[in-house]
Amino acid sequence: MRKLVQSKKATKILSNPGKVVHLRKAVEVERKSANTNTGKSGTIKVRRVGAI
Amino acid sequence: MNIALFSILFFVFLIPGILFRRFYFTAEFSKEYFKSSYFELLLSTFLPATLFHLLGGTIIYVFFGYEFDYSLFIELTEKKVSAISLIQKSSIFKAIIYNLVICVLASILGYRLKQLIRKYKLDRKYKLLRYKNEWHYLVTGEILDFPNVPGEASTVDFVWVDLLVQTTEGTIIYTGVLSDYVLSKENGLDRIYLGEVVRRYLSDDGNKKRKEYAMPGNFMVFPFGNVINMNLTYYQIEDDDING
Repeated sequence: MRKLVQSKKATKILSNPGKVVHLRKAVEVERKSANTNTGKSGTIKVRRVGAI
Repeated sequence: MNIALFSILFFVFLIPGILFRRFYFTAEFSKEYFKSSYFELLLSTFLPATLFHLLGGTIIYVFFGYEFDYSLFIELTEKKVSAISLIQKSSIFKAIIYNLVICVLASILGYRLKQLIRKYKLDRKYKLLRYKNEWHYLVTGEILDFPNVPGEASTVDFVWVDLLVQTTEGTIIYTGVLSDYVLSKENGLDRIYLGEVVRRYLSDDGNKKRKEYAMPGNFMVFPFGNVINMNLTYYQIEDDDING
């Protein structure tokens, strides 16, 4: 399968079921946050790219 | 005029242009090669082919002192001479070598030009150089490098996708990480692959206790015809104890 924008960091997280749960949670937290554009769960912190 | 012979000669003339185009539109942009109208196709192969032959003609004139004898083509197509006598009269071997060199040159240049445009992100900066595969720019996040679009594609670690899909059971939202996509013949999206998919009913969105169902499997494939709309979010992983 052709690789798209999934970075090595993301691939490593996605191959770890325990981390995937936190990734999903971090995304959910980011979406609920009104201004910060960041979400954190466990050791994973995500930031929305391109948000002003 | 010998139409069949003229057509063959015209096709041979166009081959460098065809190869240039073929190698310029490769990999994720390969479908664009087939997508033009006949007029566009002719124009986009005729112009580079003419340029390559002008360049080739100049090079062999400067370095080898050999000049094209265009009158032979006219004589041939007007049936003033037969093809056999022309082959005997001219140096067919040199002509074959010339055409082979021009074809190889056109292929390399087409491929290198694409590489240069992609390497220096010229297609993202200038609309004129942009490929028609808009989905590629969208799903890879390269759209973030377009002028006046905030963000930077190089910072994207993964793309989160929400798909709104109409089913007989109701409208369902599927969310997951984008894994791949397949273009349709019309350059639209044919299928989309998501990983780590979770689904929920759109009608549950107002409820505090909405139910979500994780979909088992590595990838879930969505025929894009069933998708009402798609929401893409680009994410950067800021800090993660990967080995932890």
